[in-house]
Amino acid sequence: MRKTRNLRAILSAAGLFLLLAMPHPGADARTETVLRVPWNVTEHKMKNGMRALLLPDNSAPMVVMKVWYAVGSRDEQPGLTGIAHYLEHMMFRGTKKYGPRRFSEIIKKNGGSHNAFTGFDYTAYYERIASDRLELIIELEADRMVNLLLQKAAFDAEKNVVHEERRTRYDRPVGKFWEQLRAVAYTNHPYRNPIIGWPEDIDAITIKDMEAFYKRYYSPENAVAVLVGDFKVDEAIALLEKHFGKIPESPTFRKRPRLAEFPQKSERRVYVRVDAQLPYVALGYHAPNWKSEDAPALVMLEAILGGGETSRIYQRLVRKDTLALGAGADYTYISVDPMIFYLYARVAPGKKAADAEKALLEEVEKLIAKGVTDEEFRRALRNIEAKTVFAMDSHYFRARLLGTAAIAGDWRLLEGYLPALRKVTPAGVVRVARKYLSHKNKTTAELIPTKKSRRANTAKSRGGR
Amino acid sequence: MRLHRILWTLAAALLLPAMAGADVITYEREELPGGGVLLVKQSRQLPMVRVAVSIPAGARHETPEAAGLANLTAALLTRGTKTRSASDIEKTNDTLGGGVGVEAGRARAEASMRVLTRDLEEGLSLLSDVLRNPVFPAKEIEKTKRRIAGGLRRQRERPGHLANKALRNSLFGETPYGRLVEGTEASIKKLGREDIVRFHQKWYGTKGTIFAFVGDVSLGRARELVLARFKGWQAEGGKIPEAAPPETPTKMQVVKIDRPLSQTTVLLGNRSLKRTHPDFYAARVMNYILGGGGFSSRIMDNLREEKGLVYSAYSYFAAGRHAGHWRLMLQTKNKTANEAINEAIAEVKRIKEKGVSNKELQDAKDFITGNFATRFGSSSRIANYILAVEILGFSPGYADEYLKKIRAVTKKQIQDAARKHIKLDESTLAVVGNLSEAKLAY
Repeated sequence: MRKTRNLRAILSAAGLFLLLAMPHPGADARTETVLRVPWNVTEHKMKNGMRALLLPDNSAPMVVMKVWYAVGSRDEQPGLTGIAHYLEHMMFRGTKKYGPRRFSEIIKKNGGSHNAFTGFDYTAYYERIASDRLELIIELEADRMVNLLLQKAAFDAEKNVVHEERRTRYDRPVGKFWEQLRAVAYTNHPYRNPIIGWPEDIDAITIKDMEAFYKRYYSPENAVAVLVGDFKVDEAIALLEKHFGKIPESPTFRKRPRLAEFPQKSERRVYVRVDAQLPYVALGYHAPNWKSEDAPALVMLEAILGGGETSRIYQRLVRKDTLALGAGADYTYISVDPMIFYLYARVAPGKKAADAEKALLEEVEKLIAKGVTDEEFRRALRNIEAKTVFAMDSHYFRARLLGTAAIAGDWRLLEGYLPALRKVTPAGVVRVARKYLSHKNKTTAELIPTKKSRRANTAKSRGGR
Repeated sequence: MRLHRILWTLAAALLLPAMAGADVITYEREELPGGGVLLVKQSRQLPMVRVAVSIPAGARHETPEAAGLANLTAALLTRGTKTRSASDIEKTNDTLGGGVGVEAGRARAEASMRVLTRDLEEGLSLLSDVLRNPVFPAKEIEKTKRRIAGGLRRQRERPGHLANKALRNSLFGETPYGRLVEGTEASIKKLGREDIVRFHQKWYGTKGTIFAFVGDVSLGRARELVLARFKGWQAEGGKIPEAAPPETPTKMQVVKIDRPLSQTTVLLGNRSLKRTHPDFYAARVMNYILGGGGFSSRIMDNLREEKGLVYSAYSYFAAGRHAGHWRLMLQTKNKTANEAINEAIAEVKRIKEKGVSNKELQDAKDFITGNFATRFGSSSRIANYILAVEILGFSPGYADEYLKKIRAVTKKQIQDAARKHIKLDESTLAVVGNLSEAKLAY
């Protein structure tokens, strides 16, 4: 609940599309059906700058609404990491009109559920409710866009809650591992900071900091409402206009700044020594996102190198050499700024991290030296096409994709996703592998288990309370 | 003016809790020759079909000595058949966008897949092949055993896993509900190919198996496919091993596990009602108020909103067909472990001793009934629901009965349910954390 979600791979294996034709050259003899799944989105812009994306679907008498703000951990100043997520928590602490606890109470009373999540690029709030209650949730979200109450007692209690959340996530070896890898792979871009923030910064955040942050970023011109479900588009727009449309633009709002990570000049490495059962190894390479012409080929590279069970890394490390319990690749196509192309292996008992790392690198070298076969390329494309349809099988997930894409630039890039992949060639995949998966562009992280508490110290006792 | 309108809107919404009835979820049910059942929920929204086959071949069909056998058997079904190698199966799976996966649970095993409509026939051909014709190659058995054992090892890094293992073991002992479905590193080691082959022959067949289809497929088409692919599929059957749960304690049992963590994980639980118990509905509403209602629950309100002690704290009834228990979970920094446990237990006592208010009761009912209609937003949610209804022995019209029974729950029934089904004296408290910092008073 109110989770920080790390959406590293929102579209790595799940994009959406308008027309799914199957023009695989030399595909098996059977007739390929042309599938039509319309992305039936209406875009609406209000006078105050707020945007809305509406996707009607009457398959169930329900609606999912997500309100996205173009502010995430990416937008935090040094010393105030974690403030976007902390504010997300405070958004449930009441407004001038609806006191503490009322938000949740009203939604639940009406059979709805709600939550929120913060990412590197955004903060989003959502409700799922019977479609005849749409106005109720619109009114509540519009209210807390500008009327939030920030009070000392709740602010202090919530700070402890955020610390507990941080402990839950990062008290675990794998959590610490990924946090350190990101902190080293980026030097100046705020993607280097954990979304939840560094503990010392969370401690230092004041109500004043948060008031300023809220006023600056929570305004109509910085928000996108995404609706998926059983409603009439014109009626839903009228309700959005009625409640959000009258909120004035924020006088302190400024467009989010352009940020760019400095180009990496040489290889980096980090060792993470923690109390853990097994080693872990990951390689991270800076790679461009959807804004680059290379991005579609990187999606295919991710799939071929480390997507499914037939991918090269999985076959080599998990199946053939049994070096790892799991292994694969991870690439983020949709984001505001470029992220990292990861290769990783969860090392198996009795095996060495060094051998797993060597195998990962050999698979990269082999792909670059010997190329990609037509067969594996076709299989990867079919896999992504099928997953693209499967991704539409949920109101929640469609609203999530639309919002993520809208925040990153344009929801229409979802429509262009598969057509762009179809233009990629096996040679193009090799070309981007050579270009980005280089030693110079690499950060390696290795988790080394320490042995201090390997043995369970279990005591069982009996007694009353 | 504006305020007035908004208040009116809210008032109207509050007065009319969302209604949900049988029309929320309807599907077709048909019995198959050989003792199986076919369930179909057709929807043409997307060109895809989800298929789930639930087979009575879970951990409760294995003996305690062979712990992990059901899971190992399920995992090996996709590692080679009479006509397909493991690599062939992987290729087909990847081409289909995921393809067939098989997993064992405590009561049953489930094979499932998600395919584009155009791939349904190919998918079902693979699905039936892995269920009917596995060959269990010796090499694959060794690799799979090592992988499962490695997974168990990695799980030990997770405090929640350690606490769960301790709680289950204390409540259910040698029964399948007291151990991990994966078994232990030692028990897996002892399992041989013969055991796996026998388990498959004995339990995998049409009898008691449920075939659920959700999505772009008609009843007629689903029936035709199942009859063609699963004709003559028979299991030998046999006696389900019986094991008695541990004696019911008369005092709270405490299990402490020391780990160098900054946060303590706490589980508190007792053996409790099964899903078919008539008190289930009152227990469900009661627990929503106590710890199941997220931010609206008493435990969250006290421990999180008020005191900032936890990020996560909740309780639920894990009520199944064959066993059930109630549990409460919380995580807090080591230093506040005692305080958080005390507060959570105080909430349990308060609901037992003082019951709930009219408003709490009504709010809980409004949520549970109103939320019901929003629970079917994806094919996997629909498939899980219709399978659960069938497994529990309810009819396809169960949704109506469920909502009716929830609406009929009274304050007295709530307090009775708390008294009868949450039993602190019979409970186990499992704690994982830095014990020297936590200084547990338990």
